[in-house]
Amino acid sequence: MNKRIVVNAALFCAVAAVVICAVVWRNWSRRYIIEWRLPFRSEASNPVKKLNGNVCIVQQANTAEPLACADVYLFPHIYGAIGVDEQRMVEWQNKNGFDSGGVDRSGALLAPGYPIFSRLAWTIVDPVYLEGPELSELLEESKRVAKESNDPAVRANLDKLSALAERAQAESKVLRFS
Amino acid sequence: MSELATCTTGSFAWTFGLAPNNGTPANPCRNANAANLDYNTANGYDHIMQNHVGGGKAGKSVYAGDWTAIQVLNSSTLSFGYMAPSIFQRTGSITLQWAAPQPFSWLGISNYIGYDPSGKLTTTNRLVVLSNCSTVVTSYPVPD
Repeated sequence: MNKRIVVNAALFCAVAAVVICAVVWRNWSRRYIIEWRLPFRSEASNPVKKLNGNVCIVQQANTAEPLACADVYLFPHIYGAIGVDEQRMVEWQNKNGFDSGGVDRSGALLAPGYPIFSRLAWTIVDPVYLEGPELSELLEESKRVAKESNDPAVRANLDKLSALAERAQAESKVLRFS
Repeated sequence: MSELATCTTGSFAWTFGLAPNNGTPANPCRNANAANLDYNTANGYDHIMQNHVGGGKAGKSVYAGDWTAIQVLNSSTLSFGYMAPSIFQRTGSITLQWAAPQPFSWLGISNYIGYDPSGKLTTTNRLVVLSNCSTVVTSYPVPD
């Protein structure tokens, strides 16, 4: 009789301990580590080839998985070619913050003559999505920069950028800068 | 509480070897005081809460946790993170990344911090601070 009580008590304690641990872990993970998934729900069970890069073609603005990506070094190469050097960036950020979108209160651009490139300077803070006519403007600005620069690094990065922009335009997709 | 959690998280990172910088330049903020991150001067708090918490904005990555969790993640990122690739570096600021420790990965359990812009679960946090290693510009989850 006593043995049965002890066994039952032990089982009860074991079950209670498991439940308490699960609840504590669940709450703790939500609060601090945030989210956990078991393998059968994990995306790891369905591995997908990841596309990396700071410029990507996506199906539509704001929601989609990238279709193609590339590393495009906007800084220092391309921005250097349009007159936006370190000093200009620091001065602009001190005056207008990090969320100006490349336009100050008076309407002046970070890179005069390059409204699209001016918008793309702080994509690490806010991603920028370009589509439709904006892609045409990006291509036009890229051609102007390429024409005015002899730096092979600038041209190489502009080539990558233009290739993505042309494909996005041809397929009516969106270009995401992040 | 957040300092304690930061220490705990940091210990995990050290124990499980997730802190190393993956061959990228050393984290210039590793000795900065992670408990004194300034979220006000560059409107970091407003930006994070408006864009990367709860529903967030469409197309932007979203944290799964609350503000306390985000502060813990950012403190860990400052202390134990590594420099993000150079395409994500900007003049006047430092971009750091840090992957949340995975102490139970051997059980098949992953700890995710939120969702990347594509809506996929991710374990990696990105923190953008000014060159003083204290003023937060923004932070958000990025793809692993």
